[in-house]
Amino acid sequence: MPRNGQIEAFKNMLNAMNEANVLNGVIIVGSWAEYLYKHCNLLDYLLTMRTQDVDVLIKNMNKPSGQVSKALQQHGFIMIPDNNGLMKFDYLGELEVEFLLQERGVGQNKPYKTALNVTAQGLRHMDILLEYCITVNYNGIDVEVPMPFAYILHKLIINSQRQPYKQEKDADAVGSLFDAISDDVRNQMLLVYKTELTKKERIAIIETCNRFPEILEKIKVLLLNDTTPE
Amino acid sequence: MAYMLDVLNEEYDRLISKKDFYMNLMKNLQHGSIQIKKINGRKYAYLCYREKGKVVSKYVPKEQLEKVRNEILQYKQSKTALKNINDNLKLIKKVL
Repeated sequence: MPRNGQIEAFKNMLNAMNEANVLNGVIIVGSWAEYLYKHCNLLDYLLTMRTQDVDVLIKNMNKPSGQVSKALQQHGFIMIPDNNGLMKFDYLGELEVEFLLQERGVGQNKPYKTALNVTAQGLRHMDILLEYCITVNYNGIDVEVPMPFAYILHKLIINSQRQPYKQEKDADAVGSLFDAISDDVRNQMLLVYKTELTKKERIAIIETCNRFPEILEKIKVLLLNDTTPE
Repeated sequence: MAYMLDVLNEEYDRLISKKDFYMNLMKNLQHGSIQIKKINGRKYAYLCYREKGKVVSKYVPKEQLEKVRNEILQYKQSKTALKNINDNLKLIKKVL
């Protein structure tokens, strides 16, 4: 569970982005999306471990435009640039905010400059998070998060690219989330798996399930034992 | 849950580099407080701080006042951040 200082910092971040009028242009992804699932009563389940970073996915690097960097700094965040030019924003050592973007085409090694006046790291396989998101109300502020089934599929797709211990951590989180989603949502997940994902992505998902059979077998069963026609 | 130790180790490394960042940042920031003194009916801003036990008072030109105020604020934020980071480091050390 996040500590009180982290939660205050998280609220502060949302307030800053709300005041900058950019919340409709971003999605909260990563483990803080799980926190929102639980605290906005979207899912009832046991939260796994949380680290100090909040990942904010920018939907479109060219719009909306806004002064996010300035707004965050006005709310007490301090910008920590890395050697590569990626901006991170830290709040009193309690929480670190980082921006992500869907990487397209050949991609690039350095971060992208965005209309939000922050730089963002380009990552692949974010389409599913961008396509299937839902708005939740947290403390009176509307925030977008990926739909839980999209979050699950995304974590399964990218699992092999993560560090080994993060693979296990993600598998645990995904297993708990899967237990908490309804049959309807599972069917939606199956439909998206069959109709929207590439063959490579589907293989990656099954490989992840095979790596963690004890936790993810139930997902594999759902995805492979389906009898409905494609 | 074997990954917990790895997560904590990563968190530890991250906190250490953040600690370095804040310590370096603080070296380049003004600290203390702004006092407004009224001299011959005019108001002048002074930056007051302690140095080796003595109170130092430095005149701050009007055009630099905003910048100095921001630096003082950032210094205070950095100090709080360092305290939080040290507390978290202690906690992680205990667990590890």
